[in-house]
Amino acid sequence: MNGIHDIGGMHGFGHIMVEENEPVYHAEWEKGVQSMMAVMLSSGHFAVDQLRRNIERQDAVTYLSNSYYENWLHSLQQMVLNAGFVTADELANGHIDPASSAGNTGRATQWRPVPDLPAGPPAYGVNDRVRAKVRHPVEHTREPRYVRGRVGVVTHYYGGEPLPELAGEGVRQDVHLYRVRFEATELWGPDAHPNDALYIDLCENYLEPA
Amino acid sequence: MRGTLRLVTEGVSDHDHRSDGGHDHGSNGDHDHRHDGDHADLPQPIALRVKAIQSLLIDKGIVEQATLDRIVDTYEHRVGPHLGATVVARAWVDEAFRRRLLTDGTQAVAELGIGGFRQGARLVALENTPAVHNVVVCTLCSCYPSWLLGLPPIWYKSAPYRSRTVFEPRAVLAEFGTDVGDDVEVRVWDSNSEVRYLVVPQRPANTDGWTVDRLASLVDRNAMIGVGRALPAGAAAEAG
Repeated sequence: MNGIHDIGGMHGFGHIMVEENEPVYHAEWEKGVQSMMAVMLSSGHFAVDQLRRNIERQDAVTYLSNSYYENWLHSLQQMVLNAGFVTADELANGHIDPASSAGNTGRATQWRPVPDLPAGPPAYGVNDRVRAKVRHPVEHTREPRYVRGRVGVVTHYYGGEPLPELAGEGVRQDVHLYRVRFEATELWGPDAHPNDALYIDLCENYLEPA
Repeated sequence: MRGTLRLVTEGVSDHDHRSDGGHDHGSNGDHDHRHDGDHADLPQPIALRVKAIQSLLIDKGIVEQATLDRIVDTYEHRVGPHLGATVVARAWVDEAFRRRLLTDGTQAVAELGIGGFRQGARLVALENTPAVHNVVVCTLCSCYPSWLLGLPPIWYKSAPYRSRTVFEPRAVLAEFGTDVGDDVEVRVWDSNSEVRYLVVPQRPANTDGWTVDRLASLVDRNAMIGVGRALPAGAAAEAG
């Protein structure tokens, strides 16, 4: 989706603020959020794209107002609710509802640990010129706006990777993944530095021949 | 979608929530306004919301407290830039390892006993040379090789870094004190897939014959993200 998270190339966010001697966590609750999310992802119940999808679906002002782990907390709540691990009532009351059957993991996907081989051979090879498709999917995607419609060159073929559009909804379908190089002038116009380039990994679904 | 998870609370003000949760914004972290939830209800302080989820998931047997504690301990005490620094220093002194690292980063770091928490993630090492400078960003979120470098710093996850690095990498590098000549190619890597990137900075001059440990003391996090370079040889004295 064309969400507020897709900020590559935007102006107006100001200078980069570096915190000296930054701690790993800034509050005790961040430890809980980060470690619970790590378990959810490493247990194979959820795709990382589901973490992202829930964050992106917040409204834009909330996304920008929240701290990083506040966005994670929102996503974690959505994940455990949608998977049926807990009910909304249980979250509201803070303790288990004995009458509830929530907690069985039947509704959560079991993600295989490594990518499958996609169906069919890859459509592109190294040195092929490709265009990132102009598309505006309403679902989660990993094709940022700033590459759409731009022409680049395939520099590497990785193999399979779950398609983010489906993974965001908990559905696994592996597709071919490529590394594509775009010249900065192709992305940003003639004012870009002639000696800058952008590398990004794009699913075959995001590409067309150029 | 929002507002469905409000919890009833007593005796804790919304202000506590803000001061607890706003650290990602830099200086004071205050939120002047919030937009989640129904304003007619008293928002749940974030620490209590987290505790409620945690208790439920533990009581239902979905997560174990010991596992959560181990993950926190891992990020606080075990993984961090020192791991990546060892990989870089090893590549500087061991040509065969360097080639393996650049060919298959995942496999090469596994040789050193460094493995990912999440299977299926790939590591790609990017070597800086006199002609090429690499820098890594994640414009869409905050993708980072956390099992190799630890959790990312706030600036890496911040909107200014994510928005600007793809558009004006040289200006961003300059803000970090890293000036790159016009004759050097700057390669920006937008970490948008499950591939993770490690920048291998150039080895500093006057470090011939150094041990891996001593060389690793010259490699900091910024150098491995690519916003900085390895420290000069003279910096090793205090670093050990």
